[in-house]
Amino acid sequence: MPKIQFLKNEANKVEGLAYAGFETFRGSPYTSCARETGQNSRDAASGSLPVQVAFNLRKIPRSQIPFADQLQHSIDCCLRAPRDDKTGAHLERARARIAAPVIRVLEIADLNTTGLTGPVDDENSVFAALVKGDGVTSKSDPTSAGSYGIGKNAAYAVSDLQTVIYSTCYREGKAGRTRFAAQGRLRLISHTDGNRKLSAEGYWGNDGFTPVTSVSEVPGWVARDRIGTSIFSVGFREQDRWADRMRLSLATNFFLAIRRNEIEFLVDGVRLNQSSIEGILESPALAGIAAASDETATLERARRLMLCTGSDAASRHRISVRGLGDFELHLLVAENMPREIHILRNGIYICDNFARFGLPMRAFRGTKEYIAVLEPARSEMGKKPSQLLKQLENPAHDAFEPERIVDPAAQKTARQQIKELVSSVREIIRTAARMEEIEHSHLDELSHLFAFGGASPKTPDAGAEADPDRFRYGEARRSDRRRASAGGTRGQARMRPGDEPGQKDRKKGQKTARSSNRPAGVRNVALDQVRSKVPQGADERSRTIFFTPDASGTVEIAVSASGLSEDVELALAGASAGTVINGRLRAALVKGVRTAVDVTFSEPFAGPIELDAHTLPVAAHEV
Amino acid sequence: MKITESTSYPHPVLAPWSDDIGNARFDTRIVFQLDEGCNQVTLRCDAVLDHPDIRALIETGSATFGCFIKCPETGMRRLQPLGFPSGSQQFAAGALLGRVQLRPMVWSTRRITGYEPAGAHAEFAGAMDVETGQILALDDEQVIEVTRPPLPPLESIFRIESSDEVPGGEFEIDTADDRITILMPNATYQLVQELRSADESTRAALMNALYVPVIMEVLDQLRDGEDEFEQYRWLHPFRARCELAGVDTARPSLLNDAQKLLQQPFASLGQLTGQGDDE
Repeated sequence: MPKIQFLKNEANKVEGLAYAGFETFRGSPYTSCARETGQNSRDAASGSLPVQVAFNLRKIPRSQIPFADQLQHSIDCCLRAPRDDKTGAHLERARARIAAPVIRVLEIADLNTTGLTGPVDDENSVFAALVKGDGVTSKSDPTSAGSYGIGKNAAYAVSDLQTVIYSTCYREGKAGRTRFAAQGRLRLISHTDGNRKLSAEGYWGNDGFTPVTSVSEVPGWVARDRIGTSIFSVGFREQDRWADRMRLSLATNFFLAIRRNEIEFLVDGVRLNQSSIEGILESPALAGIAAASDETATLERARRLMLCTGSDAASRHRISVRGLGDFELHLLVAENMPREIHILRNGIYICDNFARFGLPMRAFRGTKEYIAVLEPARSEMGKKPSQLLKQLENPAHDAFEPERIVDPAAQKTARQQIKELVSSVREIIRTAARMEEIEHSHLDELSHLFAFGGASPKTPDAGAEADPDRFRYGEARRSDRRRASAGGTRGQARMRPGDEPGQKDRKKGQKTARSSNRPAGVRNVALDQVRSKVPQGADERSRTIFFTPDASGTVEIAVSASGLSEDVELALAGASAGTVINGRLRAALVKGVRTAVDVTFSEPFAGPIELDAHTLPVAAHEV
Repeated sequence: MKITESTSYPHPVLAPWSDDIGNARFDTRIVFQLDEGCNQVTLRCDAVLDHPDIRALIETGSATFGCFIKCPETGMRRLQPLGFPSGSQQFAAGALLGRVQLRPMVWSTRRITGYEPAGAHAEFAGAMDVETGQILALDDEQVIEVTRPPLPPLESIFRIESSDEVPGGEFEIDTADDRITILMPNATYQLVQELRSADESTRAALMNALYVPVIMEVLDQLRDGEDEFEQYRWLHPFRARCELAGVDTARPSLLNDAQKLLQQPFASLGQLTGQGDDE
């Protein structure tokens, strides 16, 4: 039977609420929780599908919290000797939460990840690193965006009970069976329970601080059967706009990973994925959230970086750093840009400088306005750069700090490599965004020979108003819709089966010639509401075609594969009605009568088709 | 990708001209911003799609919304994914010119098994599997005209520019821009400017020393085909001038044709002699 167990406090250590791991995220708990848990899921990606992370607020009846009574008892023990008013207030709030009939739980569940791989009793496993490790990294990918050392604590920062449950399904070995494991971890204050002196840190699980490995031993809301990880922040502090703040954090930090379809989020029912991220970033609703959270600058930065990484007008530059590897610089030179370079890793925003290296990398002088994104190359050559940046990144994700590399020689090398990187970035930007420093002059003496507008100058329209704005705005106009019927009057080139692409022009000519030389009396027959389907259970040679002719008589119908730029005629091998002659269907049609014919192609084809119908000459009727 | 209103797909396609799927709407509005300073276009497309099944496919990543873009003048043909329900794309300067055709659509990005959209025509009875890359919804083709900004008449297609990258005493030309640019070191640049601002006789000398070889070089570059220069504004006036002068750019006689295009510049060198006599 799973239960809560606290570590013994044999040293009488005094442990208060201000645990450093949690305090890091107290200032922005929702923002941090979203970013840190999202990053952990991103790093555990498995397979080709995007990682999916869902943030859902659940309201769990107290009766379904298996440790509710035990936790309430422990909080009562803590309350007997509160250290200060703040601690007392916190514990009172925690007691109210756990005593309530319904407990709020924030579930953060991911899919398309590896889960927290085991074995769970191996202290080097990912499971152990997340659930029990403090300040250790056990991510399988050394280039991953973070470590479970600090960031995992963000989930506690949104829990009034400072209690988190981890539930995971992972595959044992490469093709092994699926394993389940769940364990909770909580942190109150050091306390005394009866005559037992206990630490602040406790675990929910089986005896000996071991995880629960049977789904049947956990409540339904903790269980999971698909590979991945669920994190439950028990006693979730539900403040106003918590979901909005999380969405803002995810959108502004993960926009590039989302657009690259590497990760998607579902926050309280709102999806942030490849198709929606741009609209969400541009939405007035998010702007309102950002304004209310004093994060407008962050949102605007994300929008600019999104534009920079997606614009065709941006240039891309590969930067090779000796002994390290490759970076990629996306550079957009455009008006009203802030002359900033921002560093992203694994599609996640980090910061905008190497200030701790003495390289602030801000506003290179003498350039046009620009915005740039610098990231490790998304190739094998980018792995070492990614590892280095990971080593240098501080837990707050806002600076790269060389002192994080303890070995002096390695630190010196890193400093040199970053210096070389920034030097290359500066050179690229200065070249690509240089001001018009060099002098130039138009050769007007040649303008009577070679001038824009030709040799006969036009008199400027004196009545025309000069547009002071260099931007012109407009709306696309709809083209005339061609009749949605098939009839062979569109003049498209059609290629016979077996024709070479190079024969296109000749064929086109033949078609034109044939059309213009059709015997008298032969005319096109429009087929309305053409529809086709591959009959259920049939192979790709079979197709049922439906149409309504606009004329009666014996008609020849050619079926063509709708190709990339032109149609290629498909030879028919058989038909359920009429006859097939020279690969085409001949059938007696009645004007306005809906007609269905099962045809068989000589070659399999499952794509879109076009029909071309015309009447036959009198001689052909006789045949 | 050829898309017409008469194309028949082996699965229901939501389109304004089709009854494949009833009681649903896929309607788009495309607006554009043209930076006339550099011919750079940004497109923004807003979609209204009220078919729950197709919408769900987009929202779950099984389909995507975007636009098929065709620009005959620059040769661009691209299926451009866009954000849904609204998205935008900024194109490189000069990438879209003249008439640009835009076809909004939704297409599958994964294999969809058991596709049976609500409201599908009875003739499509039963679920079907749709492979990756198949069109699920289409809107009418829309067109924008990216017109080049009007320039003052008689503005030259040539310019000279000072560049430290060109060795002393030499000049180079750059045809990969809207104007043909003659690059020269600063000292040469200053000299040329002086000659240009002097009298007719020195301008005549310049015409022969600088412009003749430049025109020869341009003709030489055009000899291998004009396609790569189609995007640059200097091509059309230059071609027009060649036609007027009877110069075949496919088979140029470099020296003779340069003289034709510059209206026999050597003839004007006599002014130098005359000037000397006067003095």
